[in-house]
Amino acid sequence: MELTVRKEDLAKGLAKSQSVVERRTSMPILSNVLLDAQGEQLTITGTDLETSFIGVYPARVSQPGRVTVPARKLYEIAKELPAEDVYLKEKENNYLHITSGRATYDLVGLAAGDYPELPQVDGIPQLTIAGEVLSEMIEKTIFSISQEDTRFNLAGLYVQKRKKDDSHRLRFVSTDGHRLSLIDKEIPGLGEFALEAGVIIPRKGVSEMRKLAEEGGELVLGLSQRYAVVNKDEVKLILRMQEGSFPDYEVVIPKNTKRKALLGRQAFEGVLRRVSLIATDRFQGVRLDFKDGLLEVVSNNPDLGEAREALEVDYEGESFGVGFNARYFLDLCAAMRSEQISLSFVDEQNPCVIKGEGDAGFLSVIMPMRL
Amino acid sequence: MLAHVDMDAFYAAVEVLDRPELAGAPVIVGGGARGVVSAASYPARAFGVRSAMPLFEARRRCPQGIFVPVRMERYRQMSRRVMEVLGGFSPLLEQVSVDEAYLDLRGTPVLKAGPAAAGAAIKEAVATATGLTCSVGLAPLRYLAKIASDRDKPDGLTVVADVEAFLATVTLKEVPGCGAKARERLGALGLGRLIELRALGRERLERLLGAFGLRLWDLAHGRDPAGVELEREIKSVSHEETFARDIADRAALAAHLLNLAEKVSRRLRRYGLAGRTVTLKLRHQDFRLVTRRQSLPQPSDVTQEIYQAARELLVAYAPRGPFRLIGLAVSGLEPAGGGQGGLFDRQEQAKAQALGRAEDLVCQRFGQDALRRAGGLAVLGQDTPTGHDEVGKK
Repeated sequence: MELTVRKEDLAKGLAKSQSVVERRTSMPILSNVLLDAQGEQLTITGTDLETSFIGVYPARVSQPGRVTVPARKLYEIAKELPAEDVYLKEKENNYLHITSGRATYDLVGLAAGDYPELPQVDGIPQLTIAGEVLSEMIEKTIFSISQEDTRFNLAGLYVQKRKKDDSHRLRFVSTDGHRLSLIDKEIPGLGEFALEAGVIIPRKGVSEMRKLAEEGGELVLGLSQRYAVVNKDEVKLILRMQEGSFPDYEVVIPKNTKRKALLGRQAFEGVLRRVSLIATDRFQGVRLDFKDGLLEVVSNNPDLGEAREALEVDYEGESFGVGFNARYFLDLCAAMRSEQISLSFVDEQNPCVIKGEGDAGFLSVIMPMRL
Repeated sequence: MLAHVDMDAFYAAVEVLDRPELAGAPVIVGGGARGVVSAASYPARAFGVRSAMPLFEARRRCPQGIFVPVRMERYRQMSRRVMEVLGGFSPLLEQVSVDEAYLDLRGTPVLKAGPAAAGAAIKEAVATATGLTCSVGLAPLRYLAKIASDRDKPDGLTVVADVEAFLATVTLKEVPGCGAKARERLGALGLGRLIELRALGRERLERLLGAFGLRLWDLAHGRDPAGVELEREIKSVSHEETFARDIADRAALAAHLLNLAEKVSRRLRRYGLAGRTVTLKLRHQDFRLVTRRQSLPQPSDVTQEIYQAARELLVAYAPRGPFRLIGLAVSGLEPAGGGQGGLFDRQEQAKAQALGRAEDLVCQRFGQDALRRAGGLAVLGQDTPTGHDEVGKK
């Protein structure tokens, strides 16, 4: 392998591969990136076997070939190189020679033949989606994906194609077993998109997808039961779907809520922040006491003391109190955009449903905690 | 003034109480074909039989001994009666085991007639209510009360009026927690009595024995920060079983595990606790002890959930055995019914909880073995066949 590539392209591709490549892994080659020079292109590949990053950049290739070198080190080097162009050449024993300006490196690599094959993902049904829409959908669901790897069927984002009336919507759902977030969006061309059953995209893949979506522009999303493929400009992600079946989430969304309070999102967020300072570390438990026109947020901690703050809300009806993990509401307030949000309850034992007019198609469900 | 109340040869004494013809006989309580001595009556102790001694050794030393199986349920029942009586003397009661408790008698009416009279009153009340004898030690300090109760056993009463004078008599062997290793190190310096440690100096004691050295330094000077603790924090709830014969068969091990899960979860529910971490304990034939643990998604006191987690650990443990012992512990405890509720399977959870409550009620009334899961019955004949006795008597 022998080629010249622009420093900017090399550094950009390596930067994007860093979060995919695992630092500590039982297979040393997975800490490396694969550099593959063919035709007029340099392809940079990083994978942890679940999530794969592929970036394709223009290059002047004088000798096609493949090498693998430590991803992190090569990125650190690429960032600092002095000249605009970088000359890369494969040497004996899997060494990679790098020249840029007067700087030269000979970097120890591993045999490219040992690098894992990426899955074949040709022919997967594709959907074009605006980065802005995709990033909103992810932002409003990613925080309630389970962090526990033991509940593997919850450790990802559930993606479904839904038909409502005559239009189709793309639905994202996430839950960690204590709270749930759901968002529906109408996407042009979704009707023709063949996604029969829901799929679960693993947490790490979702956060990689989010980075691409946040750049704006258009993305092409391919989904099958086994893989998701995300294409954007010179970058491609291949994500292996999470196995297991997503729980029957619709039954946990309360339908017949009777008590409804309307409140200012940002004011609520501020109150929660202040009151939860006193709450016990582990659970962040606070009590929400609803009275006519007023919400009082209270926190008691046997070691620290008590905190309370009242907030004017639009609520009429009998007074009631219910405990929650403040963190759950804080996450939600940060993800929502509505000025006013609604909290709807069946009673003190059942989950609370949160919606907002400025967050079309979105709802969240939070299970109370007993304090 | 604190009192330490220690029942005399408790299990053996209960056996004699239930079978008066055994009075004065060398009664040895122990379980299983390879078990150990759980308790020995004083006549049996005269033959050199001691608690925790292998049964075969007890048989060798005392061939005429009367060997009876452990009837834990019955002892617990008597224990509850004893604790009720003790609770009548002071609300500050700390039960430290089935047959042992501390009482803080300060400001209580019984102490008005003096410590010796108070001790006598306690002994008499226990004997009247249960027919059992106990030994009582009274002292202004917790560890001295404990040492005192052991001085005049059985049926003893020792009052520590002058702490300094009493301290001068305390040997290191009597000091709770001062084991063979510590005594060996101190013995090498010619030290055998607690009070002699004063000459050693605080720093040297610490260098010699670490944190325990500092504790001994305090004890040697008649200082004990520990009083009677109303509620000692429970860190974990566990049960284990030593098999009559070593077991390698996974199905049989799982059945034992189910029984243990039942016991552990019942205890958790009785304490009103739920735990996050499930630990499996296995002892190999060569006495090697291994533990494996895993966390539950939510704290649990549900038999089935605890059993599932423990079983997964058992399945994942590759070495085949055979094993001498299996144990199950639940830790990471917190009050049950608190904390974050779950969105899913709420009906299943409610059912499991209702089942647990019903189970507890039945077992409270008819004994631990009155209701068992069928999966554990395969091994029922081998462990505690004594629950039925309990039911019969009621």
